[in-house]
Amino acid sequence: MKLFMQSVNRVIFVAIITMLVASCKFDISPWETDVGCATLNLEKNLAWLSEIEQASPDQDSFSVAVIGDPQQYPGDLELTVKKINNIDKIDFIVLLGDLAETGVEKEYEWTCKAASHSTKPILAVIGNHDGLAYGPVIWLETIGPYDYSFTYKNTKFVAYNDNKYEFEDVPDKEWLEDEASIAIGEVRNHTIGMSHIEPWDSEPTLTDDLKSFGFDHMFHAHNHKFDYWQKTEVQLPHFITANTLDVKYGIANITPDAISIEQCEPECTTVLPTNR
Amino acid sequence: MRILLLFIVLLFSASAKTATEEFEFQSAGLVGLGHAFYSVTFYDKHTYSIGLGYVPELSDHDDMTLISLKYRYTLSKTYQLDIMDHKIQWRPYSFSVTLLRGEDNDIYKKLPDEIPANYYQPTARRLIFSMQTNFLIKDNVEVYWDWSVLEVGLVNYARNFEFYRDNYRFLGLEGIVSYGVGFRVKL
Repeated sequence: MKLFMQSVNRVIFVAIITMLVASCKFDISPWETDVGCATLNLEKNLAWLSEIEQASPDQDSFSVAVIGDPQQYPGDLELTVKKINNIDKIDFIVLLGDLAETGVEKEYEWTCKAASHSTKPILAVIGNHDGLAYGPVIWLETIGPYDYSFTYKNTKFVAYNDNKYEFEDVPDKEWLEDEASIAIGEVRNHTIGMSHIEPWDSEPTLTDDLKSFGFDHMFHAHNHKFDYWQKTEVQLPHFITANTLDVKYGIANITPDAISIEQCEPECTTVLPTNR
Repeated sequence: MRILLLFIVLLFSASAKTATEEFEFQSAGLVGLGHAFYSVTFYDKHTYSIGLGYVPELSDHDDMTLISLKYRYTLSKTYQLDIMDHKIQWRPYSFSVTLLRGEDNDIYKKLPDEIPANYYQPTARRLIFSMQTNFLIKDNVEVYWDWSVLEVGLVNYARNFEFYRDNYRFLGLEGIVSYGVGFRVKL
């Protein structure tokens, strides 16, 4: 009997140790930077988007889902991308920042895990909370550059960092002007700017500058609620998407001639910009 | 500072009859590659610790020192295990909460001047909730396994239980828990 109990003890002990070792990660500090998830990698998503574009060369109209601020609610982000998966007209998703709340590795991992349910490419733009702690390092290593651009079906998308408290000398207006300019012989229907924060109050003429550079529509997040406005005298529409809590997102319907915006909570209604 | 003073008062007001002193060392579990604690335990249950830890230089940041204050509660339930003719006393559960502060230029204890007051919480301070399972292998030496969760992990887990349950193993705990190992020596 004693021998039997000793064997049982040993089995229990070995089982506990095995479970302990297999169950979780050996993180040495909260400020680690190694996010084990490639779902939001920019290069990978742009390559995927290129494949989608090549698969439908004759289709000149498309839609884009505009989402932002999923931090603290990865469950709602998962539900949002699953909802978007079922909307056939949407070719890809732009995720306009604040993937993390405090800039730590685990938060990026959760957002990445939620985003991995998407059946469409996701192009991410850095938010102010992503710039906290080692967030900038994680962003560069896991996702890609803060400023980048790509062209899809003759519409150019220009993503830029405008998080002034966390980064110096942003936005880079010279770069924005270069990206918005149209090269000789280039066919372009629209130029869309994407950043986490709408033009700051401290830069009241930024929307004027962006319009003069050649942008014809802007997407943002940060405010956690929908807004859609344009300065009356400038006529450059700024669409601000809500956060993804309770499945909220925007849809930009883009044709060669026009861009229209739908606001979804989660049912969608078409909205027009208000003049300010 | 007030918390630190309170801790020091508690540590040194321990009467010889009710308190035991310990040296504790832990690796990982969010408190550094190594973290040394000086601890005082009251009534074999309530342990207060003050600690100093270290994270070595990594490719993307300098080395970092960590300081901590920890409270641990140990349940009195014990089991005797007989492993290879060696008697081990197993105390299955103890629970702790650790206030951890990192010392590095990329994280801050107070907001930089250019950021408005209360815009963010200081990024250098974190709260860690942990559970340990403890094995007394000699009269004065105990080894333990530690599971730790960052405060943001606990909050997110409560808010998004179905997400974690559906995307990670062990009821989603795999998504938020980090583990560490350590030992304690009674002084």
